[in-house]
Amino acid sequence: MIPIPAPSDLKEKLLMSAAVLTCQGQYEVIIENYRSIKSLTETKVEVQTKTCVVTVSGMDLMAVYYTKEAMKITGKINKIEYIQK
Amino acid sequence: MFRKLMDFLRGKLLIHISGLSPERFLNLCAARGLEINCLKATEEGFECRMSLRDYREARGLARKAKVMLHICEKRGLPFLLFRYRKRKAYAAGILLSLILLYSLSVFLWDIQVVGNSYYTDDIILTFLKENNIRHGMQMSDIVCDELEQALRNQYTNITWVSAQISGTRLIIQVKENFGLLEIPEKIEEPGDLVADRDGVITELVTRVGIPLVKAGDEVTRGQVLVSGRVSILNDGGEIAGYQEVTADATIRARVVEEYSWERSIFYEEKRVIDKSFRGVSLRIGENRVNARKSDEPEAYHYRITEYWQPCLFRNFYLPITLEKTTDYTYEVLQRRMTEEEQTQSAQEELQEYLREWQEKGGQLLEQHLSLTPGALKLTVTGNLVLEGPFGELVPLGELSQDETIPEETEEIMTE
Repeated sequence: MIPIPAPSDLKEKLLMSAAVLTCQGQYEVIIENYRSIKSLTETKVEVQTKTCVVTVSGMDLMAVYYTKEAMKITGKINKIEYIQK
Repeated sequence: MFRKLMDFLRGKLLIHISGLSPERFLNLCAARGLEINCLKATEEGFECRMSLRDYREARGLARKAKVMLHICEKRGLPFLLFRYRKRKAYAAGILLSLILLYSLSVFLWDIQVVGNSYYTDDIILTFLKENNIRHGMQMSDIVCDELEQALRNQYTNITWVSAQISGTRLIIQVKENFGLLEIPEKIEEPGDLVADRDGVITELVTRVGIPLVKAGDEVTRGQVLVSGRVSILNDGGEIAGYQEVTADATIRARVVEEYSWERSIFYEEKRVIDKSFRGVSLRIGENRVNARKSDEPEAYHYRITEYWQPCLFRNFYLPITLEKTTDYTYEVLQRRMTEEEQTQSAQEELQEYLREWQEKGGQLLEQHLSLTPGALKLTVTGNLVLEGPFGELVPLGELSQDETIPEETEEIMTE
């Protein structure tokens, strides 16, 4: 069973600039605390964070908004991967 | 909704991004705090939406990232204004309409009266007109407090009034009271309650005075029912004096009334045999434009003029009136009433006769009437047995020397 980090641990992780992903079902994901966008296609979105590359794979993917703080990706999401450097 | 409105006001662009590294351009935009919406990949690059202000800043970044920006669509107010910049009349029209809208909003366009039943809208609107409150006047000239006071002073039966301005509308709320507005004057003069006609007492409740009759007694006109002279006895049981009071009691009695009524069995009936259109006329303010003959109606003719006045809102009548006049020719027929009509006529007359009695709280117990149709007249005779309020107050008479103490059938009651 994966241990759920305590709030104090979460704070630490945020301070370490870990990316925050908020998924709502299979059709929406909000990514915060990222560095830049590496690539964006209809089937794959690669986002560079400080610790790893987050890859969202799926169909008809689109960034509803893209700002300095957060981006929201919609579409049919099949897979989310964390690829270490 | 608010966001859409802001997007419209600021102007929104759909741009196509193509070049060597569009991702770098996107990252540069994000780093500068520019907002990119609806970003999606296309065959030749990316497509996204951006505000006009952000686009102006992003053009420099595009050169830096070596990408091409192509505007596919423009939406919003800045583009509309730019497109129609040469249409001066159009802009003037919009400006004029705004000015007109503002200038019209300072006038009174509607008056609503709420809560009135006895005082009709017309009565109150006429009063307002007399006090220079009329449609089309400036709202700033209306002083609600003074108006409320004037209404209260003018109509005593209006117990509460509120005048308030809502937009270009004056709302007058009133509350009427038709209950006990005046306290009936109490008769202080001493008096007896006497029978005002012959009858049989059915109920007697004495409040002040000495009752001389009881329920079931037959009384004649003028007989004292409740005496206003209350005897004062000394210790020996002898009359020491009299206290004079105003007799007060609830008395009901059964009375028999003669009823007689007659009327002619012939009546005149006007029957319209012809109708002719006389024309129309238009009245604008005090001026009238006639399109009809202005002669008087002939004998056996009557004239009906219908008025039509356009009305805005509920009661703002424009000063334009259209009048349509029609003449009707009639003949007068002498008709004899049928048996049904005679019966109906007699019943209506009886109901009218009884209405006054019933309003006082009386009721009809029996009726013994006979309807006699004659050659010329219809006659109804008989008698009615009625039950209701009875007695009238008369001043006390002089005290006779041989007056005896009235027999006290009930306890002496005084206020």
